[in-house]
Amino acid sequence: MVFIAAALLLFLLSGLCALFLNNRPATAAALCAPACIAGCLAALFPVFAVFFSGQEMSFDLLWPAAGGLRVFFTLDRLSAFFLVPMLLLSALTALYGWGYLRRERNSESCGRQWFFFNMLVASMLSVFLAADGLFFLFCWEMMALSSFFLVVSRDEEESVRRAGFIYLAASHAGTAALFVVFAFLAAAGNSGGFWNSAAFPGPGTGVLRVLLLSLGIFGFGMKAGFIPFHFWLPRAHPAAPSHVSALMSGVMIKAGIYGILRMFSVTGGGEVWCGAALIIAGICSGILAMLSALNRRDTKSVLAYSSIENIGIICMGTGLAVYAASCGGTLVCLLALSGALLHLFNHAFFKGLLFMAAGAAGKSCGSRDPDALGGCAKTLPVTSSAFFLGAAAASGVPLLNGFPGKFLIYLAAFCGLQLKGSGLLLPSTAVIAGLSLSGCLSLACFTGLSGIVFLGKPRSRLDRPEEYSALMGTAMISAAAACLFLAFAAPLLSFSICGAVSAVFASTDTASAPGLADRLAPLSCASAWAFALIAAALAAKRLLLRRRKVSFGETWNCAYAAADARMQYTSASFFYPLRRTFTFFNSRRSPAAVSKTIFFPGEYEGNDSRRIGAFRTFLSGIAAKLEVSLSCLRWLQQGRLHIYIMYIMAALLALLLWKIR
Amino acid sequence: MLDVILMLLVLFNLFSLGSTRISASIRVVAYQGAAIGVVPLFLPGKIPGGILVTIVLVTLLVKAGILPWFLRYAQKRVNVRREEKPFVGASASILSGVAALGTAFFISSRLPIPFAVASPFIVPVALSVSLTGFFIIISRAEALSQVIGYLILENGIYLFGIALLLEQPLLVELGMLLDVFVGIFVMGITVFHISREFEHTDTSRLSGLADWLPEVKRSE
Amino acid sequence: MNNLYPLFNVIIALAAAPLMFGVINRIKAFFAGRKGPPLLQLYFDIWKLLRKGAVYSRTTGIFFRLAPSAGLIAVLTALLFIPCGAYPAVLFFPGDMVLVVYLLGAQRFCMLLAALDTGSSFEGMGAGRDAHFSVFSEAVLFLCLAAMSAASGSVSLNGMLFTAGGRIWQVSPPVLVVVVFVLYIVLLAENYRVPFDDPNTHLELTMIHEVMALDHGGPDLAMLEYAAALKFWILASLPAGLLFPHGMKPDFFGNAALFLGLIALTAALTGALESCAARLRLVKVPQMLTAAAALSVVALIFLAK
Repeated sequence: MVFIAAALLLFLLSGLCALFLNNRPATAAALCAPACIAGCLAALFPVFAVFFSGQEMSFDLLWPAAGGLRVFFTLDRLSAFFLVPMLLLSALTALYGWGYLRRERNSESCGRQWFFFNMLVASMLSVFLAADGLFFLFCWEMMALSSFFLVVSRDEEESVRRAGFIYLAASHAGTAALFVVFAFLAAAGNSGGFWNSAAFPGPGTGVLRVLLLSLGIFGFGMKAGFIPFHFWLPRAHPAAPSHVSALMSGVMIKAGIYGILRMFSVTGGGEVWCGAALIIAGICSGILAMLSALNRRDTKSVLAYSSIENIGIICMGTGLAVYAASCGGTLVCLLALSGALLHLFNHAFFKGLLFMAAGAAGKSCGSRDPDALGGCAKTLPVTSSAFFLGAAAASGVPLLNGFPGKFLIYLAAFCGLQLKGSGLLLPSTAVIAGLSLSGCLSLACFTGLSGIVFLGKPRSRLDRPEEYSALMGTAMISAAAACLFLAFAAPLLSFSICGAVSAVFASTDTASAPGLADRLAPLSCASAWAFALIAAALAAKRLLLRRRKVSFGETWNCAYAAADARMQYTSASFFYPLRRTFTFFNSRRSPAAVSKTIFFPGEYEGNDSRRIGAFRTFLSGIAAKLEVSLSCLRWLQQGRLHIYIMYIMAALLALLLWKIR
Repeated sequence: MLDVILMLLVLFNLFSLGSTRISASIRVVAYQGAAIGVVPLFLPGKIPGGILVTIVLVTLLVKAGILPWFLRYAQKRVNVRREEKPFVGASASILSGVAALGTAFFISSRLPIPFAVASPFIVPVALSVSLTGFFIIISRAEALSQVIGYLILENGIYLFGIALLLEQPLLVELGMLLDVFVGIFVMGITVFHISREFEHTDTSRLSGLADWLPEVKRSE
Repeated sequence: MNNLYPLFNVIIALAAAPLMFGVINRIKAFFAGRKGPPLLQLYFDIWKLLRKGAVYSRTTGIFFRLAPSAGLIAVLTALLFIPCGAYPAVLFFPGDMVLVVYLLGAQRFCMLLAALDTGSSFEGMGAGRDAHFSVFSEAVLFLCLAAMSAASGSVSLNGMLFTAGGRIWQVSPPVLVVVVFVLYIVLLAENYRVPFDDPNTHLELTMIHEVMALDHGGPDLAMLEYAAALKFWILASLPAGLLFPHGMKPDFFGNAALFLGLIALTAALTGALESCAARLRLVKVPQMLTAAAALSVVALIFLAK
């Protein structure tokens, strides 16, 4: 625990010092980034101890000076499982940020950025450790605020400001719901820490339990970002600097899942309707998010939608586990939740890698629009290899680390099909269909994106792009190495996964850990075997070609020798068949074509924009009605300072009178 | 063998949902009627052989012979080849048909059926045929498509009847058949009159019965 | 000796896979009134290509050189999990069918990226269409596997096709016919045969698979063609495994001959279909695959009760 306190202190102190170094980006970065990395590594010691051995630790301190704030840390197996990717990814993104922000010329807010970055890491660490209700909410709010300030780092742009505002509004809506839940639990009395199940209404108490569970799912779902709580994600994550996006996508949205799992552990495994709702939300997120990700103008926007899709996959696994636990399928429950947790772990790394590579490519090439890029792979070897690795992992290629989590969820669904008469047929089929559809869509999306950005010929006149910074390259290589390692090391994680699962569903125990490792081991063997064979095949090909003539020429374009770079496929053309099939979900305003002659096409100006129309009209309808109904209270906003001071006086007097009643 | 016929019925359902051509739908309804007509031969029952064969022959004649012939005559008179503007597209209709099948299985697993049935699939398939018929009536604008939907609905109810009510006398079966026959006859005459009066048989445009019409954009 | 039989089956699959394309072409020639290319034509082609040099486009990078080998190895690894008739597969574990489908997806990943690497609009078009169709065909394949799993009570391909083979037919024969039919449609879709793509032409109308191999040459093209033949074999093994008469216990050669015969029958059927039917309009392909998905869900509903 000393290590964790030391880490927190490091984060805070270095952040505070950075506040004074606003105009010196290089110094601020050189101070804060190593401090952050050191803090993360320090905090890893106790976390690894719990992760691998299963011993839990806790730390309780009552701080009367801060108004009775209780600092109660618990490092149990579920927290350790979430903390390992969080700390590793924070270290990697700090390293990346060092290279990213070091050369910022026009920035006057570098110090502030580093302060908020360290605050974000510190608050995330505390969120996963917190075991007291008020303290948890305090850290949750700190996390939201520091990430908000990081998102609006480049606040000279209108779109960034708007993205930040929507993010803040959504986050506070979720926190408000959480307040209600925690207030109820506090009123019911919690002595042994927040996460004790005595405080929560038991299975018999009807409406209250339903209400609290729904509010909890709403509040934590706003942070996790599955549909229908996703609307802030595709704006906020591209607007933030790349290392912050990587951290937010990789870890912060997982805090929502952490909260949901804690809630289920407290309520004794959740209810059937919770599981069904999570499965439906997961399937919708998986499919609709990837449909919206096709043909975007910004690489990071596609990655943000892909994060929503992966959260959808995690929700599908969690939902299936909760459903199965209520139906009596313990094997299905264990497999599904293990798959969700493993995918969560892997997703942190490959999504972080993807965001880092996308940011590096954007910095090197000067633009993040795929239709303006192309052919970068030859001059950006590190960035492009990192992106391809991340894209392959995100598409679920079996040799990399995006696959084992999905594999376990599939296995859980197939096992669920075997249990006839337990009611698991519909959810299992839905999960199988949803997983396959979203997996294929993400394969299509990522091959299109990586092919168009990095392969082919440059689509616009760019200077020869170069790698932006060696530090960024080091961070990317480390993340890629972590992805490769995880592809083979999935069986090693099975002990901690089972521990985490047993923290949620008390019915499973760690004796089933070897079973899980046995299920994952063939995947690692197949990966190793396949990599070895690929190397052998390449060597064989080289041997074959050594004595033959290898020459170079132009790409075959049907004997048309003057093929231009603009004749290549762009992302609009690549995704056109998919978008046309799914026009129901991508409602477009099609341009009105006006032709002056009947023989030749004429010039026209059109507008091609996309929106998930139904949802936005629904939300704006509700907002409009709310605005109309609350406008009767407009008169309270007089705009004059004296009136507001009078309001404060009146409120204080009223409270005093009520208290002494 | 009964399972084969039931599977065929489900396949005919899906086909009629996925196809927008009127002549293909009429043919599918004829095949479906023929399949339902021969179902009594495979049910264990107490009806004597001669009466059973009579029922089967009469049903085949009406469902697979007379009614489809009449529909084809109506189609030629009205001169409509395909469903121009269905409210629900082909793929979505097929998926709804599968959802209807799932719902039918769920409902039939909860229905308390006191007597033994020949196959566990008869009641769900009958329900799904009825639901498909309803769906076609709701989702198609063409008057002839609605007649076809009604026929499919009646097929489903008929299948439900002969599966569960084997003990009922012959008259009930023939009565149902007569009812269907008269209904189709009346509908056919109505379709002629509609076509002659309005020069089209697009029922989505027939909203003159409503006293209050919402402001709706007519897409011609 | 018994433990080596699965390995021998894999060797037979590796040897006989290119023969199936010869069967298809011969049947098509028969329908057209021609004599047609020899049955072993693909073997001659592969041998010729292996002895050639290579021409690489200057636009392409390392991915283009990597993709055919990686794709071939992915398909080869998937082959190890397919049981052959009455003998089990070389490797099996719970959930291996998911790995097989995703390995075929990995091969598609390599092909798509290699196609985009050339910077040509031809390959881009083929890649876009392939990405589009794969969304549906993989979902249909998974639903078929779900139906087979529900029928056989096993979560491994080995269990579904080999152990529970006879039991599947006793559950409900007409439903299994539907599953075999849907698996056949998936075979046609994933291997780019009529009615989803016409492998004879290289025109814009029908570009899906043939065009993605346009810029490869020499050993690369040999690997691509061989991988395509193996993929056909893998996807044809699924309906063949379901149709295999599991009641009898043939000896090794009889089993191999029977299985080979079933796959050759599938190839002949494909050839006949290619001669008699036309390619679907590209907008109709998702509708056809959705109908196939609906059929497999119907089969699943019937089988799970």
